[in-house]
Amino acid sequence: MTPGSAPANEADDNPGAAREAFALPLIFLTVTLLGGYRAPAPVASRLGEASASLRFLAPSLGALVLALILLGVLARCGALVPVWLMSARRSSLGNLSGAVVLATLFAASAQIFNLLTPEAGLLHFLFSVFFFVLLWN
Amino acid sequence: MSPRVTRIAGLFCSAACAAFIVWIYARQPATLAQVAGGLTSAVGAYRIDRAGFDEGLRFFRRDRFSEARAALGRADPAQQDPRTQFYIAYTYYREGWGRLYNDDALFQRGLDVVNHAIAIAPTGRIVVDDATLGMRSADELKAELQRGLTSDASDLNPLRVFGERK
Repeated sequence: MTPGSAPANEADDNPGAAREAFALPLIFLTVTLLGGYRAPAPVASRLGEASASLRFLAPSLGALVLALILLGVLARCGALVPVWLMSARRSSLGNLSGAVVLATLFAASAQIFNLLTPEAGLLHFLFSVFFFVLLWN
Repeated sequence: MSPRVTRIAGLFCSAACAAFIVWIYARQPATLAQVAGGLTSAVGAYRIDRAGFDEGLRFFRRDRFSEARAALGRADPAQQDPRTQFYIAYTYYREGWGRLYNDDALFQRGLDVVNHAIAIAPTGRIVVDDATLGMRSADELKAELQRGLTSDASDLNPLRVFGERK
């Protein structure tokens, strides 16, 4: 099987279907959920109430752009072969499953960049530029 | 299990997880109790602790507002019951009300809570049948809190000292 072609007989590839339908999306969705989690230090307010203990930060626009570039890098280096996930030789259900994998991979990548980049300020800009240059090369 | 069934099950599972993640990031629950409460209230299964609510009301009517908030908070740990949140906001109003001046911090906190109560009410409207309250709807309470936080010429009116706490 060459990298440019889809698996020969997708219908019989049950372990592949389980990996594609369950394992990969759930792994990526777990990263998406936990990548935005921030745990602030609890501080009692003047009114004697404890502050929030959970905070979830959505990915910034820069993180989304970096995630898109990362997907391109993964495709160019061969780690991600889009034709194995979505192609004319696959069934509609298979293509939908592949699209879910790609979408969740994108979301997880965005959250990873969101996690690694400071939230605001000059460091946020410097980190974003660094990642951009790193991926662009 | 056939690959087709596996894929369909996987799609449903992924969709459910994705919906949960979107809900988490949209609602931003502050505690695990709010996460659990939000999920149960989404399916209409959330119930407050009735005994805690009654205890909170007893404290509220005896003007013991901190104790009332603690009891009402225990009764509604996920902050998903509009009526309980309305009473919590009312405790902030009564505690912060003053003849000469209001406590802005308490009024602001009360305003935040009543806005949250209105947001989680099914129709955005909360009306409480309680004869001991001067304001029985969330809209009245919200307006009163907003008036208390606004600084204008009426604050200098000497007749203000004869006003009554609602």
